[in-house]
Amino acid sequence: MLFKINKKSASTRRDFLTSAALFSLAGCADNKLELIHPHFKDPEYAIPGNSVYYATLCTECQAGCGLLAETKEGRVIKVEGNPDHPINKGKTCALGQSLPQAHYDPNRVREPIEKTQLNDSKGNPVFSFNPLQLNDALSKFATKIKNASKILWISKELDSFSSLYVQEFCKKFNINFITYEFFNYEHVQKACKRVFDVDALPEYDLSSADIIVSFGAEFLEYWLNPVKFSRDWAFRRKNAQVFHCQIEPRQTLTGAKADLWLCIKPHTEIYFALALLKAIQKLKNSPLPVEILSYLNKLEIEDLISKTDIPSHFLHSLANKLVMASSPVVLGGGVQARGEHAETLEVACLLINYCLEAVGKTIDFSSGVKCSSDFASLDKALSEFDFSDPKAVLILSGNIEPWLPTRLSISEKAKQKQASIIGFFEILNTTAKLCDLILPVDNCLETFSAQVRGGLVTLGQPAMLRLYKSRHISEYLTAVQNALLNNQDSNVDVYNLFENYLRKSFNLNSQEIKKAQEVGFFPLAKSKIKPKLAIKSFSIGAAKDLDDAKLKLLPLGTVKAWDGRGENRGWLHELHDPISLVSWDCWIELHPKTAKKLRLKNKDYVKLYNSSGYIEGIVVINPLMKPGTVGVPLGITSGEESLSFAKIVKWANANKLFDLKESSLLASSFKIEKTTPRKQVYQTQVTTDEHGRDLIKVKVLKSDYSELKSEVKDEKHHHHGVNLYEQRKKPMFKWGLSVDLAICTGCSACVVACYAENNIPVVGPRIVAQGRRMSWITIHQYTKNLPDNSVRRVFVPLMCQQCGNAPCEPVCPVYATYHNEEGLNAMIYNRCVGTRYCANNCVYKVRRFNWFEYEFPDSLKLQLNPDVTKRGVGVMEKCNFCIQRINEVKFRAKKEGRLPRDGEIQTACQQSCPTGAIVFGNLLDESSLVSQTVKSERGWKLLDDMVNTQPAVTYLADLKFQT
Amino acid sequence: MQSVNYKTVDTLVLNTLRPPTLGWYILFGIILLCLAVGVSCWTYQILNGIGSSAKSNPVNWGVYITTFVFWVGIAHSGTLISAVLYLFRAKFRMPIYRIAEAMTVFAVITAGLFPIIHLGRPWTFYWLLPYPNQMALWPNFRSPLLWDVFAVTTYLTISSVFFYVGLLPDIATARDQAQSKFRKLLYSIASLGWRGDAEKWKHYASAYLLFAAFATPLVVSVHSVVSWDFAVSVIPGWHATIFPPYFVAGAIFSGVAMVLTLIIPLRAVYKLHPLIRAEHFDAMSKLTLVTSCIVGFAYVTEFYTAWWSKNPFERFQFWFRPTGDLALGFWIMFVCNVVLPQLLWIKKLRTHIGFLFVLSIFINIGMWFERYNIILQSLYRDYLPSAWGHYNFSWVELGILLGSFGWFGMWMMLFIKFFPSVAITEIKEILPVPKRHEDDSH
Repeated sequence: MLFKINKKSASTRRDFLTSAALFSLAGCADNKLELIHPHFKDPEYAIPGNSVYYATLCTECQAGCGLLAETKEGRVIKVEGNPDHPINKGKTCALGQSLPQAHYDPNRVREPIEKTQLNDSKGNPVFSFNPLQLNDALSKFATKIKNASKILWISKELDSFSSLYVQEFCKKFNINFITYEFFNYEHVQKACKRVFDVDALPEYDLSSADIIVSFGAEFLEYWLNPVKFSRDWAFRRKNAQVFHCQIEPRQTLTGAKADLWLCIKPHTEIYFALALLKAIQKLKNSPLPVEILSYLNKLEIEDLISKTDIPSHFLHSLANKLVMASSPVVLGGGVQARGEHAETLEVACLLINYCLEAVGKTIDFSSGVKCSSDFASLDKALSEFDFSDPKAVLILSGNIEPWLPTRLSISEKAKQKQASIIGFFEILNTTAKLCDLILPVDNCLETFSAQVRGGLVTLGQPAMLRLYKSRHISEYLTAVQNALLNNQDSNVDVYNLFENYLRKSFNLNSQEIKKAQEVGFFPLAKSKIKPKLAIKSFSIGAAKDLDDAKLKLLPLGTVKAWDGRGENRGWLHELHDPISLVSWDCWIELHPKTAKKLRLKNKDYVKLYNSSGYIEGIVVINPLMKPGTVGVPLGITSGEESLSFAKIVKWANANKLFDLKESSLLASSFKIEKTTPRKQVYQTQVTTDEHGRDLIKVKVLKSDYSELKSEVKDEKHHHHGVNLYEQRKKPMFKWGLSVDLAICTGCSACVVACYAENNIPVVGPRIVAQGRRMSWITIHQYTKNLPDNSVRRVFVPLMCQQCGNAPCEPVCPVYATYHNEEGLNAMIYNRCVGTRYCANNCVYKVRRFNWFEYEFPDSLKLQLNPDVTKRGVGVMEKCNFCIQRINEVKFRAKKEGRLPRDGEIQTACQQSCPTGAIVFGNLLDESSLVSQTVKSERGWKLLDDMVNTQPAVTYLADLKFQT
Repeated sequence: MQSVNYKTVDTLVLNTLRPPTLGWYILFGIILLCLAVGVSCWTYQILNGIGSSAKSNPVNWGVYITTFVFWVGIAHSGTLISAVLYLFRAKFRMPIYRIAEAMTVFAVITAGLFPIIHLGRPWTFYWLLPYPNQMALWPNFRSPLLWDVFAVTTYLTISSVFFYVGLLPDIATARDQAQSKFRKLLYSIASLGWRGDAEKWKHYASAYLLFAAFATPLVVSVHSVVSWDFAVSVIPGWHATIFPPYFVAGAIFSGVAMVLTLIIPLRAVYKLHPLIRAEHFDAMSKLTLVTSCIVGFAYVTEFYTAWWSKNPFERFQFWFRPTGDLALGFWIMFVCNVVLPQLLWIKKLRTHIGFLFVLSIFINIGMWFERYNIILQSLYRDYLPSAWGHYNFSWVELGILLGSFGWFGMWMMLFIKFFPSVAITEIKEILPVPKRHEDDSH
């Protein structure tokens, strides 16, 4: 929130390290060594131990979430959502939470490096990477650009600030600039162009939607703007005001939250969408163009629906529901729907929305978000690029190589190359390793950035000094440009460049810039687009590849991996995928029938390969997917051996199995065979079945939420309040937590947040496989058969329940765990002798033991939270409701002579939760939010009726409409 | 007792104290090797972290606690045989009680190591003791682990004192017959000036009776307390009121079996056949059979209670034990502890030395697996199915298990060579009083 840079003031030199960083950067040619060390001389305003927050931007995806980077003594220790930011309102996804590990990545490129080729004794080429002086690197870069016959630049999607300078540069030097992201929305944008003639991605408003139909769009995971969607969806979901239907071949996390989940044959979503369009058009008699109407008339609903394997009564009831709804919305396809008709599916969905009059209500095109990925150009440019031309230059920024199909693979083409490859990279990933010259770029926590989205410009700013000799891409380009064009203006400092950008693009004066940076964003005048139907006709070709006999490979997206940009972050690897429950390793998912056919069983270790790649992984039997399909997770790693974390599971690169074409992702024929199991194969749960214990509650509603209110609460707590020991008198606080399972999507942001906040070590696959994972909060999964004959996956975030009558407390022989006055089971780490009796006696098994002395490798140490002790070997640890945060607020309140306000204390898990499923507060304060939520009709305490543990955590039952 | 008189008793028993043979050295070497393996494994574990054992999150206890309970159980029968049977004037205890008592003391010092080995930070083990300190920091008296500390240390104290008191007259005998200077000195000090006059015998008898009375409640208490480690918890399969009597019976069972395992080779090597005779084996077999039946009954009762409780967690646990992942352990236990001992109903087998030796080893194995079943099976499958886990043995744990036998064996071997392994005085008590001209050595 505080942007402490003031250019005019003389005291800034001594100011916070961040500002120091910016100043000492007198220009790109400056090679001055800057070291990060604890404050030798404290800046005047900085109180040691107090966090300083910087409003910044998350550049992991294009959603444009605002962040607050928390710094202590000049180090970034955590990122959290910016609570004032309209898009994410203080929330983040798992990937966003893992940003500090991207910043402190041990494999960051620390200085400009040059690759030289040598030959080993057998004549094979061996590469060595040699550091370069920044000046030398820049002059090499400049020479290459100057002499180039042809320059091609392939980039990831850049933020608005970088892209301004990059595009300017490209224009000046006649560079063919192509953007490509793997998880892109090119087909969505093309569909929008076709249907409404708008050049933007749609923005959906789920906070008012009362029915959502999604053709596999993972809007609660990573689709378009997941944090905002999650929040909006949860807002309606909490009170059961939205009916959600998900249609996809394999249940995603989003599908698991649906009221109606329809399992569709892969790549037949288009037929269902057409049938739905036709049915709705009939019901509403919507004015569609004549050609489309006649095309629809030619189609038979029964004929279409028979291709999808979904009983037709679902279609009709869905069509009726959509027509009856006051604000329905239909979302397009997800990763699994990326077949040959991906674009047509989006067209059909937009037409359905048009028929339902949702456009302008729940769908809006005025946010100004564009997808700049362009596969056709990428394909063309890469195919035409002449690697044998010594004067040709290829510039890369973005890890594209792991996704490219074999025919486009740069590493294949560059084997006997003459052309030079230059790269801008943060870490030495697969693509970076192809480059002859690598220029290190800043992580988003140490530089400026900007994103235009949702009527806002969100600004990123450095939260700390640069760790290494990296620069912002605009600094490199401006410096080279100045050198080549003999421009005397030596102003290549990123701060100036950023200021120029803001002045040029948004006409801000310095006062406004300062203010915007303090807040983290500023609004843009939004021009409301009223889209008109522009499409005249569309059709789909004959059905191809619907052969049932052939196994189909399904690409699966995961919250932990997304497109694989977190491949070198331990936190994300250590997360288990909430559906397959596999941590670290790769897996293949099979329906029980398919597994039987292939003679495979759960936890078999298999190799899956085709002509372009292979993976090895554990077999996961998943009944909630289409028989005849094989699911593989994308992006777990790129298999890069030079990355410390990615290399641990280098056989987990499923990306290469797929043949990337324009918006489609299909695999050629493949084979599966059993192989020798690796020791580290581990599913974190033995079973997802309840074994008849009725532990997890799911309320199935017939019509609406009021049914719950009339329900008599199950009063089985016959021993409630029975306690052997004397209770504390007149406590001030009793901390409590409630977790609403109806809106917990299993997104795992809380787990990563907990790792970051509480210095939880990443232990690696071998130790995870031994059942020694350290996460204090884990997403447990239960599969329940509901009375309406549906199967529901319920995700239960399980942390220490801070039992009022805790089984762990009396058994500790040394009082290392005890009950404090505020109802917490406190742990005294340095009193623990390690009998582990408490962990045995914990009925929730949430205590974690330090079996070894765990190390925080290399630069990752810098992320450790100084408020939380690092635990040594032989010591028990567990969740303590972020006691350091409780104390911080309590002391602050005491100093100010007041009580902590409700919501002032936020646990890390609660803070990150995109849906607000986790609520924390004082149970003794009748007016606190948590006191209200625990009284919910859906509330129950896990295992309390069986063991009388009297937990401080209340779970709210999952909700679902009967289908 | 026709062939035995005071003199032969002396010679037979004191023969065991003769300089060791090559066989003894070889066996002692093997035992020291086992101990060395154990010590190295423990060292490795301390250096590398307790994670060198195979325990994991839901299964936080494993081989170490199993072995701890196993050795405490072994320790049990010594006091039972020496104290309880003494009070009941059961004559068959005379030739075996000394070895049983020695076994008790050494088993307790073996058992006592395991809670320390098992700690995450073994160097802080003394924090469990209630010692005064300037921080006024006391251990948690509600914790069964603390009760364990008291139970085991009390038991060690009483059983060693009782053992030593019983040894006194025999040490004096050994002193009187000792050849070497070293032994003479050792026994002179150890016998505390025992002269064998009437007054000493009078004090001796009352002291012995007093300690026997002291030790008797400990027979019940120690293993009851150990069983509370489990019974006081809330884990299905642990939380059961049957545990104390069940554990005590099991302990006597395993202890008698261990006595058999030790005494049969001892009798064969030192030709103690005239002293340890068929009727003694018969009596011990009967004791084994009775305790086996009690243990078997306890097993069945556990299943019945689980079914009767209608508690889904208990029911699942007891269904899991004979059918689940660790079913092999359950069936080893059941066959060794309940099925095989039933053969002792046959009178011939009760005195068949070879059979008894093999059976006693099976019972030892079975009793180790009993604790393995209780500890591991319950921790494998407790309340939340999503938190269930698994366990694999690690070589470190098995090394330390082996080392514990080395440690115990080392003390046993040294004891046999330094002190009379059969109680000379008490054997003499049951011999017919000799006529003066027949025996004038006393």
